[in-house]
Amino acid sequence: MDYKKLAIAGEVGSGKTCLIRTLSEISPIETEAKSSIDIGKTETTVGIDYGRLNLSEDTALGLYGVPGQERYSFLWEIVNNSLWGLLILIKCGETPDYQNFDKLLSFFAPADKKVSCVAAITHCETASHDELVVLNQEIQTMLEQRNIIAPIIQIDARDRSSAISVLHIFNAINR
Amino acid sequence: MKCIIYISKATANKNGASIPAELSKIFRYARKKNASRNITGLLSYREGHYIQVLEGDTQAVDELFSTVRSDNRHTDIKVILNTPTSQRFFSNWSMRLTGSVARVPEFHLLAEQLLLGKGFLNEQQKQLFNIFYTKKSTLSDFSGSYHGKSLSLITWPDFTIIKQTPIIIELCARLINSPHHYDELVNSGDFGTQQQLNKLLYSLDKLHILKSAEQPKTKVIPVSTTEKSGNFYSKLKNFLGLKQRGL
Repeated sequence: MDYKKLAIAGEVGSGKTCLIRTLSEISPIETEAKSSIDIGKTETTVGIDYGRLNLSEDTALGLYGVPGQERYSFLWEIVNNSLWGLLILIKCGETPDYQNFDKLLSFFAPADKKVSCVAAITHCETASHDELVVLNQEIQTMLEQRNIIAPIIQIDARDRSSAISVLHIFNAINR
Repeated sequence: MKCIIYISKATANKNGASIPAELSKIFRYARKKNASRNITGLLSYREGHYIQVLEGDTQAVDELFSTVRSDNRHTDIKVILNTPTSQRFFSNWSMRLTGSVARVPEFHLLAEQLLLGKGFLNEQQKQLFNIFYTKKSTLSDFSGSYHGKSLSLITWPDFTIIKQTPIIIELCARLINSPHHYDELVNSGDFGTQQQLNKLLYSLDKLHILKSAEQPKTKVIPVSTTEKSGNFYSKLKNFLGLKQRGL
């Protein structure tokens, strides 16, 4: 079985679970629990979400959604081994927690480990152009500080063709 | 009218790391306030430093700069330029935000006219300015043809400026990974007609991220790439329906 792992990391509400639901061909294993604080939704991921995309009978891509917060770094450890790609989701409309973001980049170290990395901005359907420019600039700066050359794209995690476009990008980078 | 340019240090966080966490707030506030005062300019962040250009009515710029000086989100404010001027360089922008001033043609014009002349900047100012801009940043002239050139990208384009399409992503991924001969890109047919490819390349050139060099005598990696872990990528390609499109 040729099997590769794509880690999908991001803060609460960035769309990890949704993206895995959109892409996965199996019923995703989700670890959503009722949120105890107001995060704009009733449930949030407290562990790893898992989904799988079967490319053929003997080839598959595993999708591992992990929380972006450092307190869940033990989950980062679990998925970090032999990673094929790292997708970082950033929710538009909120200033990301850049301390956490930097810790995530430092832990996964895609530049050092030569793992393909893509940053994807979600929830940007109603965002103004200025909002996207400034968020793009902040993310770019964060990536540059860790010597990561990665595209910053915009996706709609609910939309299958948009979600598939993420795989197109990883395919283009990795070919 | 006057123009003030300053460079300051971003306030470091508890761990000592310089993270531009306030950039979005500064930018949003500056855009709103500057528009109401008819002030134009540019803001950029690099290696723990901000550079800001403010231009407009003398009193309005002085008043704004006085507020900027007392903002605790940055420290060590060093004025690079404070001069009367009769023209605006960023007349279309209440505050332009950029990751690299070298990618902003208006900034090149400003630098040429107001900053790079002999004796304009002292040594300390030059050192600070070099964080953002060096002579190497000077725009290369687009000759109108990429024939005989080897092309590569220094970074990914800003997809808030150019449209994120599968074909531009494919082209960028190729040029980021390794230099490619222009003629091979044309012959591959992967990017449409030569005219369509030129259009894509020119859109990257305008962002100043496309590097072109005379084609070396030694052969660079050809366009028909070999697949890493062939089986997996081949199957992913099939899954994505790219094989039929020749990508």
